[in-house]
Amino acid sequence: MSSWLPSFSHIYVEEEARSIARTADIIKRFPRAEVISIGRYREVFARSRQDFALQKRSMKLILAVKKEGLVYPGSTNAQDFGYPNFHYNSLILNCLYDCDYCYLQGMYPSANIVLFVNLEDFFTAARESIETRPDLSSPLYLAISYDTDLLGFETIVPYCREWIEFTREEEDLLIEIRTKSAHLNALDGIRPHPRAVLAWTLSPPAVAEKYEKLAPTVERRIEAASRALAQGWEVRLCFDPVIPVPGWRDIYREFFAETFATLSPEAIRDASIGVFRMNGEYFSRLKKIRPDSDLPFQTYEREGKTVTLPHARRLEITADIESQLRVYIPQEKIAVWT
Amino acid sequence: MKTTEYEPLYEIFFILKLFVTALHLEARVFLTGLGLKKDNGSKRIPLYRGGDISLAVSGTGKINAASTTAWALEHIGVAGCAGARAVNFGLCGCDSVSIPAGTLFLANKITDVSSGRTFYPDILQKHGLPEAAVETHDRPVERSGFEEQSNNGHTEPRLVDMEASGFFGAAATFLPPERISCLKLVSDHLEGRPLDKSSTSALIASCWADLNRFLQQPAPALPEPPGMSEDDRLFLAGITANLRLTETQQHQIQDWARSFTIRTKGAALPLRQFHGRTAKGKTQRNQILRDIKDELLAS
Repeated sequence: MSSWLPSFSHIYVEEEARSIARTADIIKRFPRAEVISIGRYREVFARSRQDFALQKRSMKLILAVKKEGLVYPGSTNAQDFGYPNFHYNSLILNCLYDCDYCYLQGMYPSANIVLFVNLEDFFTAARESIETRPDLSSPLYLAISYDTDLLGFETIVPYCREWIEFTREEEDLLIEIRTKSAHLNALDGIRPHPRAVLAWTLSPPAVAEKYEKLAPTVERRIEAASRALAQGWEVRLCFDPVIPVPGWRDIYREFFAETFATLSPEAIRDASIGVFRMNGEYFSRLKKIRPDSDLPFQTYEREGKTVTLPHARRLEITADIESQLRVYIPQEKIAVWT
Repeated sequence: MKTTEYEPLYEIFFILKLFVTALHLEARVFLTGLGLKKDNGSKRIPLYRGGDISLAVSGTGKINAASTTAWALEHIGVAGCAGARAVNFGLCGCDSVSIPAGTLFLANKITDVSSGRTFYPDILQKHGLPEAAVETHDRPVERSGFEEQSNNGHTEPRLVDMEASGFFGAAATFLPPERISCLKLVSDHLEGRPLDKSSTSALIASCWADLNRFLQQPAPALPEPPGMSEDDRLFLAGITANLRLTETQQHQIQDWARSFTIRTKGAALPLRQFHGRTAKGKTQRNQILRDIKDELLAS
């Protein structure tokens, strides 16, 4: 029997969050949890000397109110898919999964989950960003599942559903919900919308099993993407990061063949590829946090503030993977991070 | 205001290296249970030791608690040890009469009432004890007056002590939050009566099994990843010295070696051919380094 407490054994609640009805709804889902009142979420989330890897074994939930930073400009390490008004937000900090390559473990001092319950404030901020977007000829492209996996939380808090409905009302908004979740059923009963993109991150099984711990198997993700397509959702496939494990060319070739035997390439909205890259500071922390993984100990280079594969290696891999992907998906539908 | 007298000997700190084996409040019971012996080298702070366990007696109040904890962690030198834990065990008052005296709680939040500062242990492992928040006051409190303070509508029992915040604040300087615990035994309901030593001893004795079980639990830890053997460490140090590697290059070679060790689950470094190699200049050194890198990252 595991000696670890189950995740969400403890729920920390900001005083201010208690006045929001959503908070009580979330707490009700965990009737056995210890509920602990806190002042501001950083009292718990930003304690010194926390052990990210240990906390991943027993993640706690922090319900909080986000006061500022409700919309951020998109990072250069992320892909904008050609949309000039690229932004993202952080409705939840951290993720249920435990991927070796994830930048969150370098970015945050804790593996605990911070869930911001003041969703309406995020909507207000999104509306303001829509109004003030630099290029009015293009929608606000808002990634709402970057610092988390929002669909994975849908049974705890139905934010994907709420955002899809919000998007339906906002004509100049395009949202991306990036996920490794297979729990598409969580969106049952909601009509797909062309400006709500469900983006699945996919890796070959050999890579996923080794580096994407706690995440659903890639077979289940592909099955979920397949159902999403059948239901009429816009589906994006993110082969990102491509991890050059031994034999990667053949592994990815075979993986693409299997993927597109299930998913109709014509139905896919677009796809992205990119290699491992991470902010240099986050990467330094990652190496300390993941002594169990070989991933941070491969050969990387620092380019400006970013740590990534050496330039030539990066070009070789992305060119090869892109050419393999072009067998199924036209080039104009492939976004490449180099 | 009448006060509840906490005997100095009733606040005890266990500074544990590796495994907790027991704890102490009414000294005889716990010292016997843990097999601890008085450390006569410690003149000012009563200190008991046995195996990997040390027990310090702080006296009443958060200042005493903080100074004793910091002193013990610094001087006993366990803070840097893998698996070191610090546990505070002490008596507390409880505002809820529905919580019987003798109930042992694990603190999940500690508030220093005078400063408003809060501390949160990371409770990651199953422990089998009820949890509660603890308020640390500067002086003993009793029910009258206490009930008038806002409880924010919460229904959880409120535990009151005089040491937890001092202990936790000091321990947090040395240890991560998952290795610091406060165990509080309800001794009264803030009636303001002086503690009766014999009944308190009996209370403590009655929770011995729970205490012992908690203390036996190892500190939360993950399996150690495969590490380099001492031979390989020395070998790598030899290469580093022979090639006169720069600091950056030293980091690189360590990373490559670590990567190799992790990937191969602890296999010996395949670098025997570089034994004793020296370089006549930067160019040759860099070439050797590239060869080492190829060797370590290729396999």
